[in-house]
Amino acid sequence: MPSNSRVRWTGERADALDEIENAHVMVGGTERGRRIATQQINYSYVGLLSSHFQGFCRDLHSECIDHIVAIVPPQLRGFLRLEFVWNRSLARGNPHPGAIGSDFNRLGVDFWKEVCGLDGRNERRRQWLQELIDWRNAIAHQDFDPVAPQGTPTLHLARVRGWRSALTTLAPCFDHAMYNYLETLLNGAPWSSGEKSHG
Amino acid sequence: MAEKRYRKGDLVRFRLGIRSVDGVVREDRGPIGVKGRRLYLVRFGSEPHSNGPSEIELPAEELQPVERVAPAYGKG
Repeated sequence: MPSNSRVRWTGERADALDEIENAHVMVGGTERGRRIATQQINYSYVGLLSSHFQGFCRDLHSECIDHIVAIVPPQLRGFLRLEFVWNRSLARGNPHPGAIGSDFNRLGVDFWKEVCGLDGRNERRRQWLQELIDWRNAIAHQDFDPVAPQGTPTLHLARVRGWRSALTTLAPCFDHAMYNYLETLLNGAPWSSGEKSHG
Repeated sequence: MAEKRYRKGDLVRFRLGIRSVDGVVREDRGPIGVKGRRLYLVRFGSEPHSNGPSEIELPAEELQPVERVAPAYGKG
């Protein structure tokens, strides 16, 4: 079994993202009308993808904290819990690579180094994550200059699917990196080692 | 014994060092803790002139429910 956070990512979070894929298929109308409608769905898809990935990262961060504090004396646990979630980037803003790195690094791991060490292609996936967040911000603020300087903010479904595919690969790597780190730190497996692969 | 469940807005008490602190459940974070135990995000009071309330995530076993006391209305 992977982490509880990853189970949620591959379960209810994936289901929610699939629903918006289905909505895309369901849109009818004339060619031009459909193009406009699906564009708005693609924009929504970006927001939902970002928000569910943020949820996964925040869940995994909380899950790791729960494992770490379990090995300290009870009277110290509250302080540790408080410090680890204090000013947590993932509780306030987007899951951009810097926010993820700074939150997990506070647990004592060199997060992105470990994640990229698992698969060299994760460096490119990290860039795709940043690209997704740039688009998410452009959509949320209706300011497309940073992502479409030519002034045509067209977002195709294939591109959103590409970002989702990158995150679908990154999520198990996050899980795996924290498994390795906690196994060393805690001198025992935090969750079952039955599924450490990136699949 | 079934794990106690809390809802958003419930008043709870927890240990922070050697003192007891009262707070309010802000979010049920779901069964993401060790061995699938449920975690709760709890907000608790801040000192005057501080930057606002603090938040902590705790499992149900480290929380105690606090009864809401109905306001006492005087006669007349």
